[in-house]
Amino acid sequence: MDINQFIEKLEIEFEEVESGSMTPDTVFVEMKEWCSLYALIVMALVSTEFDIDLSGDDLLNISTVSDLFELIQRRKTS
Amino acid sequence: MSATLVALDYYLPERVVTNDELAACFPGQNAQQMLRSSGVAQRHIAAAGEAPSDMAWQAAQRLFQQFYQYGLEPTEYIDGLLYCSEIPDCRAPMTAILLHGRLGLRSDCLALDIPAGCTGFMNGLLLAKSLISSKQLRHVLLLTAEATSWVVPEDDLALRMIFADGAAAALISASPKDGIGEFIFGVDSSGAGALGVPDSGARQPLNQVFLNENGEISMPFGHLQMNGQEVLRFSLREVPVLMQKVLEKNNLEKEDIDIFVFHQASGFVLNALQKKCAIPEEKFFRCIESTGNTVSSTLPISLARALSEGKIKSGSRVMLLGFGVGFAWSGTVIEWQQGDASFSAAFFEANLVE
Repeated sequence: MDINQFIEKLEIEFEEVESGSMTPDTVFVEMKEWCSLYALIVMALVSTEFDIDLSGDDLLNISTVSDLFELIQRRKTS
Repeated sequence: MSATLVALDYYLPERVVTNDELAACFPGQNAQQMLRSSGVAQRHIAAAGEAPSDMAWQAAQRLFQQFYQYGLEPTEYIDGLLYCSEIPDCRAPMTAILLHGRLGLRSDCLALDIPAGCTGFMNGLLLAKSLISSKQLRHVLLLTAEATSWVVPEDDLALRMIFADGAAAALISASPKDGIGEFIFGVDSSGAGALGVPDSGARQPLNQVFLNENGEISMPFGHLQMNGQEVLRFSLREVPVLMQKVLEKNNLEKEDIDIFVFHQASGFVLNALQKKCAIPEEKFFRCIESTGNTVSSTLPISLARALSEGKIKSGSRVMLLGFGVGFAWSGTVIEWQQGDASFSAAFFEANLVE
């Protein structure tokens, strides 16, 4: 899965977010729809798609979509 | 000697709190958002003074009714009572003893409390099977009852959306054919702080600081605390592994299971688990929308609902997975041998002989 496909999946899961509105540079917490439910959605998506267990601290340490995607790639190879 | 689950029933308190009613207490929230984030549209809440054991008694009466209509008196035969609730009637004696008296069970009967939360029904099923297999007992009444609303503060929307009250009753009996499969279970006490009612027992009793901070909220049984992120991580980490291990221990493939009944934790957790476990929609049972998370009662309520909806039939293989507070988890596969209440009664009657 490349980052664009990952963004498509995120946009599907974030029901209120319009398709095509997110980019690799989107800062999660600056999204107008961002809420605690979205953090759970990210955790669930990363677990179901990549079998990677993200913690709350992992999410606090990243800012953009591309940060998250890179973290997933690192975890996949470690 | 083998054991099987013979019959089930449940009781939900009369009072129903809808999302519209909840939304009215929390400005800026709406019912649709609540349904989306929790998967719950309404929940039943115990009346003031309606103790969990009162709900358990009601559930037991409904179960007994299934037998009364065929002229059978199950209380004459039940020789084991297992009672699962997080809020006992009192410190001593065990609530199972008090319920034993209220239900009029015979005196040569084992009565035990097993306050195990989300895995309570599974633990009860495992104990009942083991006690019957070892020829100690023949007919075990397993009651689960929770009044979680008693430990949820009025101003905590996240908890109020998900948790609900209710009770269930199940009869497990000796049987020529094994209807309850092999179990897998486990615990991870590192999750003890992520979901539970702290400051409510010997280590730290309900204290003055808590009472001062929460003086306006009358919560004499403590205050439920939940870290939603940690509960989700635990569920996604352990439940798919549990499912796989249960299949392996029972020499089954996923395709052999007719219906998957998971603890109804929250709509969000269930959706994520269904996806991660790759279970087709038609085989994944849900009833959380109308009942909420009734903790130890979600599994028996789901089973009873699935039976009444015709989703479990005679011969159906059902995977049951419990997981939550602890953290703890437990799973097995049951084979439903009865068709309906008349079959249950006939089965019960045929197996009464010593």
